[in-house]
Amino acid sequence: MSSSTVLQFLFSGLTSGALYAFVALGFSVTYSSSGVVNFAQGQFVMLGGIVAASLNATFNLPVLPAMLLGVAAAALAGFIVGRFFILPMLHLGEFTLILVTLGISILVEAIALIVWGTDPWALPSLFNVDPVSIGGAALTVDSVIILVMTFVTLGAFTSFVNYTRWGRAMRATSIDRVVASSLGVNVPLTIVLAFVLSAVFGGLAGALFTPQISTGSQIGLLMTLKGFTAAVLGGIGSPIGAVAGGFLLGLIEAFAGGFISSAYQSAIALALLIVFLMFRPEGLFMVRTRQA
Amino acid sequence: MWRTTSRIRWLLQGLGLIGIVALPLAISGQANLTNLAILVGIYYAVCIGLSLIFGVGGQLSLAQAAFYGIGAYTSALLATKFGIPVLICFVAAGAVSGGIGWVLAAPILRLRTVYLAMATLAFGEILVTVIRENREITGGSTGIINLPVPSLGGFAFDTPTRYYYLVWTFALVAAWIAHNIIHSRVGLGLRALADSEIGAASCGVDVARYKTWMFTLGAIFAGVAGALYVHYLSFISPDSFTVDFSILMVMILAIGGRDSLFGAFLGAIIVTLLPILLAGYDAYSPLVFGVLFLAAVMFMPTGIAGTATQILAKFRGEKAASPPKVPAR
Repeated sequence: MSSSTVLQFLFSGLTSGALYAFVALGFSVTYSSSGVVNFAQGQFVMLGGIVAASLNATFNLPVLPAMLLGVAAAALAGFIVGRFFILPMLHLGEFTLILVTLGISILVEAIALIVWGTDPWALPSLFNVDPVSIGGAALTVDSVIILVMTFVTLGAFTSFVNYTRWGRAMRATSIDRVVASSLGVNVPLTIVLAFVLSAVFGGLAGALFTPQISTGSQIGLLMTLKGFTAAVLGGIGSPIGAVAGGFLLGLIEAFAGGFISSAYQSAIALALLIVFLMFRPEGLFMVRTRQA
Repeated sequence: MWRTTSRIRWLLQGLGLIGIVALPLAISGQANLTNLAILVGIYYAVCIGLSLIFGVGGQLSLAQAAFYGIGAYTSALLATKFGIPVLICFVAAGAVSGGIGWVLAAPILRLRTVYLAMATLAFGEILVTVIRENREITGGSTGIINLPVPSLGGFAFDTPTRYYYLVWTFALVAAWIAHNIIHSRVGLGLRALADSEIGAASCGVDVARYKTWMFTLGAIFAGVAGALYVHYLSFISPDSFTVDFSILMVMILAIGGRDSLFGAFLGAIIVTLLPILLAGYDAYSPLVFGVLFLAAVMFMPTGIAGTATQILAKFRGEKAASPPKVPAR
């Protein structure tokens, strides 16, 4: 195993880690504001990517506007989910909410199957530049963009949560809905906003990642599962934990795929999820867990 | 009043039983319909197992496909590699998937709500990967063909009608077992722990043990049903055991009614017949399933069976015999 191969695993691990980080970030936003773990989280990734790819392929839209519209489509889906499916059901408790989000996930996939079929959809790279070679390993421009975007998003989101009025409202909602409401926070709006934000994160991941590996109408549920694994690794409910968990998962998958077996790399990641849920459900970084 | 309700229930159960026994005579010769009736029986058996842990106990398990697959592969491998009589393979299928379910239950059922759902989903995905990758044993993605039909002392279950009776005998035995459990102390304990595990535990319900038993029983039913399914097709491949199957089973219970065996029965029929009704619009069938599922979850938490019971009770001006309430969880 040469150093360039190891470096290559590192790059691909970081890149897919960024994807998982985005999905995990989406989980963390909705979980910490409404307590809902959204089974449809991965469907936002699917929507962002497939809308961008189909706009580009069918209407010859340039890549950047296609990506932006993909993210917008995911955001719209997030708004619909939050406003019309989660808010009216929020009083019904966790069990019903899980089934509702599972149902939404099934429904979105069914609609996507009708609109986009089962074929894979590809999207050209944002910039037509050759990969850079670092120590014998290729690093594509898309990877760099995704990595940069992950940290930009994390930074923007953390400052949003910590330093803006809306962010404070969101944190208040996550601690106690009733008290937040009595202090003048518009709780329903905050929860809808959280779903839109989580959908934007998912959509961004889908749009940015489609040039790397093509997307398809049926990737949603696996994305949910992987993103959830990342969220659990880092500690669900913490944005920084989510991003760290995403990168950790990406790296573990890449190295497990390279050194153990590429066929089992997903299975290894999922086994890790089960082990973590059983032995360390609060995640690696020990953040305060929210009481149910 | 209790008497009338109970009498009507007996009448309905009797009619249902006669219907199940007589159905092959009514549709004999139409292999398509018999195939569907067999499929309903198989789905029903799996859902009976799931309804104990999910419907009554309120634990969302998405591992049903995994146990269905474990049972199916156990039986297929024993029958083709070792030439063991198929009926014995069916028993082994139940034993192996039940055993794995039991071992898995202790650690996995400590998880609740969405964590349990995700962990069981992950378990299913891992299992499918293992089946696909161990080509020399399982035949990989292509699977195994020419599975033998079961036979008992020279009598082979080799026609759809004969197989129908085999499947439904199993399904009804499973239903009878589940019925007795639901109406026993264990059933009451399960309902209690669905409302509040802490509350149930403080009332003396052995939460961990009850959950383990129900999960194991569900695994046994699913395992045998999986074996019945593949030996009927005489073909096995991992595609039948993906997460889609687990979700389908949850859909059946949500649509039909998750906390009654009649709900599972109704749901199994609806889910099997829907694709036939939508023939020619195949692309739209997942959409119809999705809408039905979401509508059931959002507006009819007790499913069609529970809602019908409630409406009937209201109509008759009496309270339902056993209030089919599904409280907020």
